[in-house]
Amino acid sequence: MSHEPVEETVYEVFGQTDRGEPYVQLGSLPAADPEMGLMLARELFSRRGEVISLWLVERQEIHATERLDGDLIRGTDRTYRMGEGYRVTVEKRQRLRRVKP
Amino acid sequence: MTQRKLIDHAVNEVLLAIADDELVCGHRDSEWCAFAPMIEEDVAFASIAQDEMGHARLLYQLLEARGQGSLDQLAFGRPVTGYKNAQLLERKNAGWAQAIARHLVYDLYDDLLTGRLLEACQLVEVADIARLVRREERYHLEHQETWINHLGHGGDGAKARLDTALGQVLAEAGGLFEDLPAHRQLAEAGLLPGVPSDLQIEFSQRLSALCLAAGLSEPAIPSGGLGGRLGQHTADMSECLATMTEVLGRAPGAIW
Amino acid sequence: MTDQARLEAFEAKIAGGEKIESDDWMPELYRKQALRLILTHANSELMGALPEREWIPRAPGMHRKLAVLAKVQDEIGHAQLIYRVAEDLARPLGLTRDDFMQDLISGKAKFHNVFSYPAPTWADVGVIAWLVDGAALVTQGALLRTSYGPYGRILRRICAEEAIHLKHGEDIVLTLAAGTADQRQMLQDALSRWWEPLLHFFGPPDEVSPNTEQMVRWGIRLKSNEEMRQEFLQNYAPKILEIGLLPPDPGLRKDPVSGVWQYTQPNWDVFWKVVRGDGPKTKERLELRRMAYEDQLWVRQAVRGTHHVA
Repeated sequence: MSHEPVEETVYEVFGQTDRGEPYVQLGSLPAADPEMGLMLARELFSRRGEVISLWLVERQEIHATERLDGDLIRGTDRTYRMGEGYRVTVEKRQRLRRVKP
Repeated sequence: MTQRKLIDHAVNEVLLAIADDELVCGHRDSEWCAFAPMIEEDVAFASIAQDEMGHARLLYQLLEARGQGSLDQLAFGRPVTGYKNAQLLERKNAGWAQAIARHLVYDLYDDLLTGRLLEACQLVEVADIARLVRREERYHLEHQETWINHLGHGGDGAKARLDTALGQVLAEAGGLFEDLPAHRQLAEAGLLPGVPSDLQIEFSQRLSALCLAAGLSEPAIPSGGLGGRLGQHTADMSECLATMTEVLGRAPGAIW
Repeated sequence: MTDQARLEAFEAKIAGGEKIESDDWMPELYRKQALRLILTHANSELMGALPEREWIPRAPGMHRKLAVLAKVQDEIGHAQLIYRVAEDLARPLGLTRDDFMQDLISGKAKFHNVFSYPAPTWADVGVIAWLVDGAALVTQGALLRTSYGPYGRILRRICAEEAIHLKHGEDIVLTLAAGTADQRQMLQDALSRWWEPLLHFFGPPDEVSPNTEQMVRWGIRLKSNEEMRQEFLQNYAPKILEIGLLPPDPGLRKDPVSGVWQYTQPNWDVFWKVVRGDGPKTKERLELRRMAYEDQLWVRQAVRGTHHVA
């Protein structure tokens, strides 16, 4: 009998701590198939009942952006879509209050 | 004894048999810790061990509340002839095929015992514990099913090992279905809808179906391993008890 | 990009406090040093389960039995998390978990010295969980800001669980300390046994390892051995003395001016002997791991589908 090494599938494990909360990456594990992977993930990542639900995602099915090229960081001013871009609005209201008799 | 006392006594006997099964099963499971086939399975199997011992604890606590002695006295402070667990569960660990085969048999039995008999018990505290136990046993069953499916379809060698282990386990599993006089008393008093031996047919049907799906051979009918419920045990049980009480026995009555 | 430019960018990233991820470019030496550190940690979690697991079947009482089992389970869970980080790091080198296990069993790979010592009594279980885990928490806490991102992330979870183990161990110790004369003696004996391995835990004070400087510069490691030993003594020596236990070192005292703990140097020859794989229980425990690994080979082959005749 010969043993040809077959690599097991690596699954990334995501868990949800409560209803309505986002799924967060918890770790990963190698498993023969999703059935066995889920069975094992349950104890590996929720021994203290930390999560109410688990996702298993085959790692090779994850498509990621490059981290280094910085494309996700915007080059031009985007403060009009951020809260802090509107600090001036508060000041405008205060000025108007002062002007009003 | 008055009828009331007879029934109380019978309830205690029945609870003790279940608690002892869970304790000894959990103890053997815990001996696997660090030696399972993969690290991931070590973690999973150690959880099952904790579930089983956790069930034992609940049942001993219920017995404690019924005036039968403290939790630790009940769990660890009786002579070997006082234990009512089935002999199958006390047998030493003998490889992963035996671990999975024995657990499958026990979990299937436990699912039927809790689901068919105990959840229907007229004593509400017994029915409540049974529901809790069964919820976790269902996950254990899934765990063992996953394993037999993978081993059964994992080549001739693995299938043969599991078939052999299941054969050996079933040849000692008769003791699980042994009725105590206490079981019959409770059934006659209408507190339980039946006795453990009633579960055998459904047990064998379900086990057959699981084995068939996993590509395993037709399993035998449970037989042998009798007497555990009456306090008759193998040498493995004395060894098990000596191990469990090694530290406690060093200073009886001390707090650890 | 040239290798030199890549290296400069890499070092700038670390200097700026950025984390390195598994798919980032990294110098080969960084990969190898990080892998060595991480694998030693993973092996230690796995081997560290062995002394305590002996006491799961013998633990006194239901509560302790469950707690020790859960604790050992956590340690193996830590090994899983750390081996996974190591597996990703080792992938470009063509190494898998099977290689890690082979190296561990053959004695080629290292695991922490402290897990080469016997645990002959129940009191050892308390001392291990309180003080060995306490020492481990100091070293692991010092690694939380490691430059290797995946390792730092799992260390957060590991440290949180180790903190629970400390409480479990301290509870056993305090119970024995308040117990019978026999129990107190058992506890004192266990502390006396573990004192030298605990001082050895952080390694020699003069940092003889040539790798250390590079590892500190690359943010793989962050504190010196002596800094960590002092942190341990600051945290635990007062608590040990407070409950009437006596560390077997007449020279142990806190310098009232500098606040530094003075201690008698342990025998470092013993330390190096254990490092070379000659600890009192090293061979026996590696043999246990080998048996477990080989006994279950058929199971892994069945599950992975590697049993088929090619």
